[in-house]
Amino acid sequence: MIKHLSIVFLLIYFVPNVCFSQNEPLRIKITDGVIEPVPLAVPKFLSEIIAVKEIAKNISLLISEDLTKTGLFRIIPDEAHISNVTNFKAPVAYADWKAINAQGLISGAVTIAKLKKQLCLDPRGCLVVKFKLFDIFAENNIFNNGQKIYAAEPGEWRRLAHKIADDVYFNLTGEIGYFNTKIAFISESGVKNNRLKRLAIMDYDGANVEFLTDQSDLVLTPRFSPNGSRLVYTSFKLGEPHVFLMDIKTRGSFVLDERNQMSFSPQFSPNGQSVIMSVVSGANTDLYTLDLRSGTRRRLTSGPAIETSASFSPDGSQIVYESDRSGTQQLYILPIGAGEGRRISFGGGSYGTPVWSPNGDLIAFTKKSGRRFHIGVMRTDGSEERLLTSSFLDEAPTWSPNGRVIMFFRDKSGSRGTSSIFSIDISGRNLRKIITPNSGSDPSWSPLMN
Amino acid sequence: MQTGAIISGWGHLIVIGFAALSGPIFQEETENILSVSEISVVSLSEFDILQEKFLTENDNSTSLIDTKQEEGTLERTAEAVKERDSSEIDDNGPIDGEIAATSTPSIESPALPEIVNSTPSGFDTVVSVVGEAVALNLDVPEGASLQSPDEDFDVKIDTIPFPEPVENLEIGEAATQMTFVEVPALEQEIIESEKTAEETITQPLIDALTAELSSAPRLSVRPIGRSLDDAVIQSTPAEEVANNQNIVSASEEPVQSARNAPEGPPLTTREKNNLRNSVGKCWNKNSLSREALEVTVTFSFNMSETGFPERDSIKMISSVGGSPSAIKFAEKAAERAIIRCGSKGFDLPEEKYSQWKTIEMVFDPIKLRIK
Repeated sequence: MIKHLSIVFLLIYFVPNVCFSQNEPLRIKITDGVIEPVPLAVPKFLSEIIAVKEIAKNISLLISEDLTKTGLFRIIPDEAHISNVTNFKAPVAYADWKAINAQGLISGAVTIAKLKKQLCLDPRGCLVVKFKLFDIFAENNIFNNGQKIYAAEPGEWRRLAHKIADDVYFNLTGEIGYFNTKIAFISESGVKNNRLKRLAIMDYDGANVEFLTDQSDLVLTPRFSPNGSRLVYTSFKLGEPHVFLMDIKTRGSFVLDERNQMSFSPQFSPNGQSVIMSVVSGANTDLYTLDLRSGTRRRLTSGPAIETSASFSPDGSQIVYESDRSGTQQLYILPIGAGEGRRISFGGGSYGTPVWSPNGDLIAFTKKSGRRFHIGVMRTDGSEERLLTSSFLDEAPTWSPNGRVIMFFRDKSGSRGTSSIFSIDISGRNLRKIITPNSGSDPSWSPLMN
Repeated sequence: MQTGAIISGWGHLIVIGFAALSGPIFQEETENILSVSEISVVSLSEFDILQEKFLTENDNSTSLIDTKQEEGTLERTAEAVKERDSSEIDDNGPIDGEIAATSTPSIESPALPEIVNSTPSGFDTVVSVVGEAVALNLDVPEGASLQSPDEDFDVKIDTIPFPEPVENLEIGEAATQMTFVEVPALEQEIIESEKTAEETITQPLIDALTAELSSAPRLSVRPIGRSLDDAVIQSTPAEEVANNQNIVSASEEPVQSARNAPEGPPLTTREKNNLRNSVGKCWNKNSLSREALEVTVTFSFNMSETGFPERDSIKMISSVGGSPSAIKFAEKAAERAIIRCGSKGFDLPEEKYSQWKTIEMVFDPIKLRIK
C-alpha cells in the first residue's frame, strides 16, 4: 500500500516538472493578419538635367498612381517625408523612412542620353530612367544589382513609368504587373439604338487612346494576340459579320476566312498560330479553329445549338464556351480534339462570355440572374462560383496578365444610357472606372508589353 | 478504535506527504514561477569568465561592478532613455497624426489630369509606337555609371558623361551641355541654390541621426507597459552580466546553457493570444500573390529578456506549399511582421522569460486564401 502511494506521490511530483522542463520553444500559430495597403514612399524622381524636370516629376507621380490603383499599396504624401532624396547615390536614411512607416522606398533619377546603338529616333537621345527599390524594414536594396535602368523615346515617359511600376509590383508581390499593358475596346458614340462603333486601343489606365478603325463599319469583340501585336475582331465591313485580323503597328487588316459564312466571336490560341471562332452554317452555329499558316479550318462542335464565345485554357488543351443546348445559355468545357463538351455551370440563371484565367485555375463569366447581370468567377470544374459585380448590365470580362484583375463593361439603363469600362479585383474589391473619351465596351486586355 | 487510528494516521501521512513532496501544488502560482536558476546556474567561475570577457569588451562595464556607480549610471541611463523616448514621441507625434489623417487610400484614382494628359515640357508630342521594343532593362550594378552598362548588352553610351545632380559644378556644366532646351544662367543658379538649401536642411537631419545613434543607450528600451525601474531594481548582478553579455554580443551563443530549459508555468492562453495579436497586426497579407497565400511558413527567433526579437536570430525554418518564389514572398511578409511589431517589443511576462526565450511562429494565411 505504502509502495503504491509512494509511486502516486512520485508521479504527482515529477510529471508536471518533467513537462515544464521540456526544452521546446514557445510555438504560436498565426492565422489572422491584416489586409491593408502597404505604405510606400515615392519621392519625386531627380532630374539630372533641367529639361527633364517635369518628366521626372510626372514619372514618379504616375508610378504612385499605378501602385495606388491596385489597392495593394498606398503612397505616403511627400509632405510627410522626413528625408529628402537629393542624391541618387546617397545612402538611404532608413530610420527616417521607418519613422513614417514606409515599408518600401522607390527612388529614381531621369536624364536624356545618347546611346551608341540608335534605339531612339529622337535626335536629342533617349529618355533614361534609373531607379532603386528599398525594403525599409529589412534595410536592403531589393534589386540584386542595386538599380535598374530603362530607356525609351522621350515622348514615352508614361510607358517607362508603367514599366517601373511593373517592376516594383513584381518585386513586392511576386506576381507580374499589369501596368505596361494595352486595352483594345469598342469606342461607342451616338444614341443607344444607333451607336457608331470604332475599334480602339488605349493604355490600361485609359491614356493614349488610338482609334484603329473609322466608324463606317460596325465592329465587335476585339481580342489581342498572345504577343500583343495583332488583334482579331468581328467586323460588318462585308455586310455580314466576319472575323478580321489586324496588325496594330501597320493598321493593316484582312478577313480571316473568306468562305461565304458568317463568323464571329474570335479568340487567338495561346501559341498565336490559330484562331477559334463561331461559324454560322444554316441555322446552326458551331465552333471552329482556323490555322493561320495553312488556312485550314477544323470543326470542334457539331450540335444543333448555338455555341460561341470560346476561350482557350492557358496550355491550349481545352476550351470553355457557352452553349444553349440545355435550353439556356450555360458554360461547357471541351478538350481539343476529344469528346463532347462537359457542362460546368449549374447555378440559377444563364451564363455567357467565359474567359479562362492566365493562371488556368479560374474562369470568369457573365451571369444573368433575374433582371441583374453579374461578372463572376468559378473553378474550372464549376465549383466555388463567386459573383463579383451586379448591375443592370455587366458583360464581357477580360483578365489582366497576372490574373488578379478583371476588366468588363457596364451599360446603364435607358435609351441614353452609356457604357463604360470598369476593372475589379478578383477578391471583389477595388472597383474602378476607366475613363474613356466616349462610351466603351468589349474590352480585351493585352499581355504585358515590352 | 485501532482501525480509526490507523485510518487517521494514514490520512495524516498522505497530507504530510503531499505537503512535503508536492509543495508547489499547495503554493500559489507566483511562488512557483520564481526563477532562482539565474543564481544557481551561473557558477562563480562562469561569472568570472563572463565578467572578464565583459570587462575586456566593454570599457564602461566597471560601472556594473561598482554598486554605487552602477546605480547612478543605470539611473542616468534610465533617465536618458526616458528623455529620449519622450523626445521621440514628441517628434513623431505630429507626423504620425498627419499620416493618419492622409493615409486613407483613395478609392477613386488620384486626380492627376495635368500629369496624365499634359505633354511634358521640353519635348514635342510623340505618338506612342505601340509594340516598338525600345525600352531597355539593364541590370546595372549599383554605382556603375551609364557609361559602362552591362557587358552583355551591346549598347554603349556616348562619351558625354552621365550628369550628376546639379550640386556638382563640373557635372552641372556637363548637364548644361546636354540640355536641349536652353537654360538661362540665372535659372541654373536658382536651381543650384535650391539644391544647396536642400542640402543644408538635410545635413542637420543626418547629423542629428548620427548623434542619436552614437548616443543610443546600451540597454534596450523596454516595451511600453513594462517598468524600466522595476527591472533595474529586480535584476541581480548575474542577470546584469548576462544582459550585458547579450548586448555586447547578441548573436553569440549564450554561456548560460542551463537556462535554456524553460522553467516554471507556461504562458497562459491570454498571454499567447496577446503575442499572437501583436505580430498579427503587422502581418499584412494584402500584397501577397494568390500563390503566396497558399504558403505556410514557420519562423524561429530568440527574444531578449527585454521583450525584443533578436534580429540576427530571425529565420524561416520550414515552409509548406507554393513555389520557391511564392515561399520567398510569404517569408518576407512574415519576417517583416516580426521585425515591425517586434521593434516595439512584445508585452510578455518577464518572470516567464525561459518560456518565451525562443519562439517559433507559424504564419498560416488560411483565412485569406482567394478561392
